[in-house]
Amino acid sequence: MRPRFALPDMVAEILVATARAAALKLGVPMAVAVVDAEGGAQWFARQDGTLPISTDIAMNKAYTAAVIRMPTDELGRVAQPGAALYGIGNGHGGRIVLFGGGFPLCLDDRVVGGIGVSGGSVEQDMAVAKAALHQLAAMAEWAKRMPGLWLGETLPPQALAEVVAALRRALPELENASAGDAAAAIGGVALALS
Amino acid sequence: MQTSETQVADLVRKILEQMSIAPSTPQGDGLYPTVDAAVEAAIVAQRQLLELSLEKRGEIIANIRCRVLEANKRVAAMAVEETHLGRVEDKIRENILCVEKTPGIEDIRPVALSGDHGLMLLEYAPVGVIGALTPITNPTGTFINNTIGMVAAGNAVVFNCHPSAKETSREMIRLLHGAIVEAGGPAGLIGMAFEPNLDTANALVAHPKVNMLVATGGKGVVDVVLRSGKKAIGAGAGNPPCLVDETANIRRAAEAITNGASVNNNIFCICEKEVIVVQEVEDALIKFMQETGKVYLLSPEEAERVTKLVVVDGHINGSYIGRNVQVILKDAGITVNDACRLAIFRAEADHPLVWLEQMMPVLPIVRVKNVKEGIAFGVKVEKGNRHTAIMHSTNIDNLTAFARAVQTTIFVKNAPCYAGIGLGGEGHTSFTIAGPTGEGLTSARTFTRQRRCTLAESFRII
Repeated sequence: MRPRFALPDMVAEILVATARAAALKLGVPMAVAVVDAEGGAQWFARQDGTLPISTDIAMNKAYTAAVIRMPTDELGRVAQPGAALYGIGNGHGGRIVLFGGGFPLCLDDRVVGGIGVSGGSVEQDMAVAKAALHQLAAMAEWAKRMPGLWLGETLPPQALAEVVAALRRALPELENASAGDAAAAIGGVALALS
Repeated sequence: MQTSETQVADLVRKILEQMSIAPSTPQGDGLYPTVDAAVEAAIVAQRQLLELSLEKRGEIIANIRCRVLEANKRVAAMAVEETHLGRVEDKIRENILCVEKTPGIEDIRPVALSGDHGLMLLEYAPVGVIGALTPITNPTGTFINNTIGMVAAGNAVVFNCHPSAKETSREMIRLLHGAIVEAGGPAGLIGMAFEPNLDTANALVAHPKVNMLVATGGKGVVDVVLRSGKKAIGAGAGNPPCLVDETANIRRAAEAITNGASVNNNIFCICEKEVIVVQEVEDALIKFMQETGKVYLLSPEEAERVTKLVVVDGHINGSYIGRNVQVILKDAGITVNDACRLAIFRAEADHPLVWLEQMMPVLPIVRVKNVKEGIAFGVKVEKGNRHTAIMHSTNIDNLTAFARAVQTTIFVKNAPCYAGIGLGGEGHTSFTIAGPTGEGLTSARTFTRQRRCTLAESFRII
């Protein structure tokens, strides 16, 4: 792994899939967005029946969390009238969201992106986003526990895709690799190689 | 979990091989799946190191010092959190000491001798690959100190840490390996098996391509390396007595003992493990120690309770080693304030804590009639470790008499124990104090073999 400013898109995809699975469990259709550290859109998914406004809110939550480098619910608390950041929502073309559901994505204490979830209550949105955060932590842990994979330079995207495809074919043969573990392992490999 | 991680990593390597994406410059992070892999990488890296200039080696050492200082707080906190040994603020000092006072390449300056028959040049050559076994007690300091010394001497190192400090040790490997590679040094120059345990330790000791073994820890590990058939350097346990006679500057002695015996909660092997005081100054010493505000004097009844807690069946209760005094005393039903660093008590000569290496901030104080009796008793409780002794006195005859009698590698006069490893004392530092094998405070020169080069008749220019 090297210092970075965005997640490999494969990892972003896994995070979105994790969030979708969590939303399905809750039975609430949701929109999920992942952006890079500058707030640029990277991956998006919307389940059937999601509230129309959630598309925009999910992307804006991810954007807010990435560019301000803090969860949107925390930002909301310090942006109240009389608090330190009151008025921060006025700029940025109205993209700043001041309620929960957006979180920065961090690797080694460095913000590498943001995730935003919208569609349920704020608590449900936050719970779904946190499932993705846990998945990212699991992937980072995998990457750390597989020493010596880093080749000194980032593997080209196509080669990485091939490696992961080969890995997916082989993974069912690995002992004790449950579905969540397998996703964490694949994401960990993607992190370790890029 | 662990198996499948190794499996996945191996699988990925295989896939990469099949796709013929050969790692162009496999840098890695110094952690290897097996001891064998670490040793093989170390052999290659050591050869590469020798091809670099000495100046480059100096730059590598300088970068190690720099990067460790940057990460100091993080690794210090990590070590205390993982091992529950010592105090974060003291670990930070320990790491600074190792960074600043571990000698680098200046330690292997050659010696030249010229005379009627020409010139003799003595050079300190590397031994090759060193297997270094590190303890649970000072994972950060030992890694820093050993890496700087061994690499400065031109060696590669394969570490094996105590399993209970493996997270911190892995982080130290990543940090030190990263610093070496960043400065242009070869990858793999230092390494460790990712999952260090007794098996990897045995594999390292027995590995035919490891040229020298350095063991820092207890008697057990030192015995193992000494039986290995390889050149071995061992740093074992100690039970340093601290003798205070009637001529000492008692206030200064009280402060020095308080600071020395409580540093990192007494886990250094050099820490004052028992105080022996001449009876006429005993009360003054205890009073002045209490006046530092960092010492709690246990009543005889409290001392008994604490002893029952920390000594079980004649052995030290491991769960209290290196813990804060508040934690230990709380379990004995005693509450002390946060400023307190050390508990002391008046002990009889046969008290178990006088004779055991307690490695916790509970310090027995034994009264003796006079300095002669104190010297004899000090020698006895040092138990022939010949490790460290401390004495507070202004009488040079007494100081000399104890130093002669106790025969320790380190003898500290009128200062806290840690002055003996360069913290507030002159001289370089070492966290591998080779008493049993006689090298003393190890440094780069220790990890070399001497080579002589003679030129007859010429090069005497006077």
